[in-house]
Amino acid sequence: MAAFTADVTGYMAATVFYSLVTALVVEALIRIWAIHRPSTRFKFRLLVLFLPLLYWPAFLLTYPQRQGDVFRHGTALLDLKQWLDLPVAGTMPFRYGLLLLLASTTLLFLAQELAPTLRTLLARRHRQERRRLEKRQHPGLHAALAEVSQKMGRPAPQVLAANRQAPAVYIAGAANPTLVISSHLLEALDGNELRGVLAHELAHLRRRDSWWGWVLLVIRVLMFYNPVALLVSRQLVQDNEQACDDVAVSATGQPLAFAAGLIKAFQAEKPESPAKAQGRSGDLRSRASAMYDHASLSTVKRRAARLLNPPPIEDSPYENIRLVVVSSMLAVLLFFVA
Amino acid sequence: MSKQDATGRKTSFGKEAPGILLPPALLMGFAALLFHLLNLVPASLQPAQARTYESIEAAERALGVKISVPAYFPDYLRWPPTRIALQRKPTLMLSLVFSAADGAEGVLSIHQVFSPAGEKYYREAAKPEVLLGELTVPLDGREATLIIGKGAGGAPFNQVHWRKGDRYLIITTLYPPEELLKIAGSMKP
Ligand SMILES: [Zn+2]
Repeated sequence: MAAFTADVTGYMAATVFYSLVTALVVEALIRIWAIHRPSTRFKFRLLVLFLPLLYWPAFLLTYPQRQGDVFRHGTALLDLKQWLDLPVAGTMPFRYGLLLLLASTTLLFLAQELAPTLRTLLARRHRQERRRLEKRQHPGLHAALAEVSQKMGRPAPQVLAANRQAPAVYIAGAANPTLVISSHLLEALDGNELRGVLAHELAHLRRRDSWWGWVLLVIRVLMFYNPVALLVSRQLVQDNEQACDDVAVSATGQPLAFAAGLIKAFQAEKPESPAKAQGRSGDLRSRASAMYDHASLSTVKRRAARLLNPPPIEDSPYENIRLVVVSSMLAVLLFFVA
Repeated sequence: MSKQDATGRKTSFGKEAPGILLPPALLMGFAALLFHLLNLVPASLQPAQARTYESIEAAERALGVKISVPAYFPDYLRWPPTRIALQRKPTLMLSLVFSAADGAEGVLSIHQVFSPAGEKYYREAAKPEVLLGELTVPLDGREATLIIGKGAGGAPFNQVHWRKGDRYLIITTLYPPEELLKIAGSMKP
């Protein structure tokens, strides 16, 4: 039992360390290569979640001796176990410090991400309150949707109206996606703002973000203890939102109107009281990724500011080659961290 | 291979390659250096204590490698070894110490150095008080060094050391060289 606990701690320590190294390398490269495009940043940051989950079992399968003292003490560049077992003043501060960090991350994950997600999945309340919007009820919405869909070269999804209790606007369902918009928000937006908000949601559809929401949820559940994964997954959500913002701006050519729409959509679902905020989904976000419900006024403001003052977007050519290069170099480096 | 970037400039992979390969390579090098330094700290903070193991099997589990043992094991030796220990400094070295069947301690020791530069460390295993002779003998189709000398209290000291696969082996005994070479020649794996 003691050996098993030690092994589990060793596994968690290694995967957290792999995430940390990958995150530092990726963030450094994003700056060195001046990667401003949110969709590219998203791909690079995904490595922080994927590589530890992939590499640790791959290393173990290809070279089981890696767990042994001969590899750790002889060949490895860094033996994490040595740090975990380091005695200082009769205790093992690094081991207990790590366990404390893992436990707090787990609690944070359960309270802030898993519980709201499960609540959203279980609550059928919103679904019953939705009703189909007929063309004659809101001709402006259907005209705007048709226009934006055509510009983006995709069929317009079905639209449902939700009452005031539901999030302002989001894509519901992964297999058969539907756009849900609250009638309250619909009243608040003017034509250009509406087109921007719709284009943003269609961009989520095009990026298959409902599926990504599920994939990320599974990865996050597997790495529930990992503080680096917690921080990076929030960044991924922001990258994703910004990627859709950029699509919305290029489809409508109206950054100012879209920024205004964004802020109105945020305000439209701002809770009247904290108690009512419980179980609410995010701003312009799919239900499946409701776990990433961290929309705050500051992030919405940051997104709006970015729209009005866009950073220079220059292509870094050979994006996929860069991803492969970084992943393989990290594989070699991390192999020698046991 | 060439591509057009957003501004319409032609870019070729050959021209981009240094910019793609160099920054991550430098970062990895920097990280490797940092890891190396990080690894030195705990080792320097705690005394280099040898780790001992209960049995050959327990040692193999902990080490993650097979331990070399002799297939030829004469009756006057007692199995299993009385001490199985791993020392980390100055090199990673496992030692097996055997007693005689009559109870005499430390009559045979087998050291295994897990390092490509293992031959540098054969003196770390055991060295004679008086060196009488040193000669090269064939062993496993390789050259081994046989050392004949006197140990503590004038006891016989015979040692053979050679490379075998991934490790460097040093066997020291107070039994005669012929027996030593028979044991050495039967080491598996
Ligand atoms: Zn969104």
